[in-house]
Amino acid sequence: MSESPGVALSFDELYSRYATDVLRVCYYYLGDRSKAEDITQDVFVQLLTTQPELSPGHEKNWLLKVALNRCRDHWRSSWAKRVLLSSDSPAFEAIPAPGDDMALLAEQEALLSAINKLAPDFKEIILLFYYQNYSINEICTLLNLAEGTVSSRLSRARKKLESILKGAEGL
Amino acid sequence: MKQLEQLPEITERALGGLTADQALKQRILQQAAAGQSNVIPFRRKNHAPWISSAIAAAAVLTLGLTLGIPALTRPPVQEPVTMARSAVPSVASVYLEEADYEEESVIYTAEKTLVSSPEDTILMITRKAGSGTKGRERADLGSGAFTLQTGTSSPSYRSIWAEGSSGTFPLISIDGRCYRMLNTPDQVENSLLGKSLGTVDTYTSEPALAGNKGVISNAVASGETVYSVKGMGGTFAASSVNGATRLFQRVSFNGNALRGNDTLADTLSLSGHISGMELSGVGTITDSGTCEQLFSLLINNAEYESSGSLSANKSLLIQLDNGLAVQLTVKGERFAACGVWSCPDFIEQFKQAVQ
Repeated sequence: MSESPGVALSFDELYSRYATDVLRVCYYYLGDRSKAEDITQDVFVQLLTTQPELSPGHEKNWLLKVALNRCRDHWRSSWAKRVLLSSDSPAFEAIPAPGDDMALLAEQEALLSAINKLAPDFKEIILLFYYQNYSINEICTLLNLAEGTVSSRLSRARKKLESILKGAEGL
Repeated sequence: MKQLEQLPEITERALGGLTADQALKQRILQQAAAGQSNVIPFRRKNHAPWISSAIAAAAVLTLGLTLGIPALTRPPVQEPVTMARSAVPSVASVYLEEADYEEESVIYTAEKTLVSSPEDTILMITRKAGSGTKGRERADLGSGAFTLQTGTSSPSYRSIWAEGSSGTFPLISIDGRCYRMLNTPDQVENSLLGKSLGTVDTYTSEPALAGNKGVISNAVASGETVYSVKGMGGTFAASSVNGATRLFQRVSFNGNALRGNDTLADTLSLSGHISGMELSGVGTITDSGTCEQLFSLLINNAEYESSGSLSANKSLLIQLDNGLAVQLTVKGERFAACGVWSCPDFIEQFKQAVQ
């Protein structure tokens, strides 16, 4: 997952390469575009104002770590629980294109919805492992967790997703 | 759970329209700059190139230093300097224009610390409260008011249009008369606001589909009041966007340019208020009398071509005596603001005026 170590990236390059990923991870987490943008904004402002020492090739790790921390804080807030958990509107909607397999599209939409319903701990692991393609070791470093914890959490997250998709459980 | 393996592709399909755009980037830079109003010691040892460029851009964004900055090739200095509080060019032009800054004396005095490095030039600013004024009082200007590029025979292209987060620029439409948001000033002073033009009936991300009745916007929230700007006729509208009163300029959109009996003068009601003009690639005129004559030439001789717009990389920026500015996109002898217009004589006369 890591970029090859080399020359430090400029802010423009960091934004160009990673801001959309950060934004989408935040959106996955919170299901709200404006909040996702707010957090993405905060992350990059923090990057500019605190000037952290970033190892070349690992800048994205820092960005996602800060973003996830903020998402967690936001999730815990009473606003999130009141607004997001009570929201009936879908956070994800696959836009069909001509020739699309509608059944497949429905499955994908169900998967995204199921991910949206996961608890934050499980959602983070799924996003980092499957969406951002981080390895278990990288996730350990990013979330400051033991390898066993990450592996077990990933396994439980997958089972939870299956359970949601089978309709055994809702929110 | 095979589909989990395809989550990146599935995400791209479902969230393909969710991207981190230039508008978000600008907000980031502005917010970072707002928190950088005091000098930050430059840490050469841990210097990362991106920090210097980003902080330079952020400092310029906050303090609006397009002019009034000594040539950045000078060694570090500590000296009082006068500078103008001005609008910010696009981020790209900040990087391009770093070498073009020259000192100008204008509005108020501040202390400045200039730091440079071998790799590139970084501008770190300490700004104290204005200790005096020349010419206009600072309170008369909108926050982030516009200033012209002077001291160069060929001002580079810059745009003062605000960008949108989707395919459509931020706009207000009032019964089909459209206004596009400008990125200067970043806060219109209350003293400039005129009468109410209505309140936003419909907030929509697809204003092209919302019709030509009522007040529609993709930038201003529903219920917000839209104001005229004093003395500016139908040129501007102003309204609150994310807590700041922003300026919008009359433009064409979705095939709507002139409406009813509108003329070019109705959409650019600037006569008597022009203090300067800047035509990219040609020059800048700061004599208001000359500018007024050129503007009169434009208004009286421009021929209407269409309700469209122009894709071009030149601009005519007109500075007004209230600190505001308007932009016309320029391509050859054609102009676009509210519709596309042709006026060969204007270009010719402008070139003669700058010689």
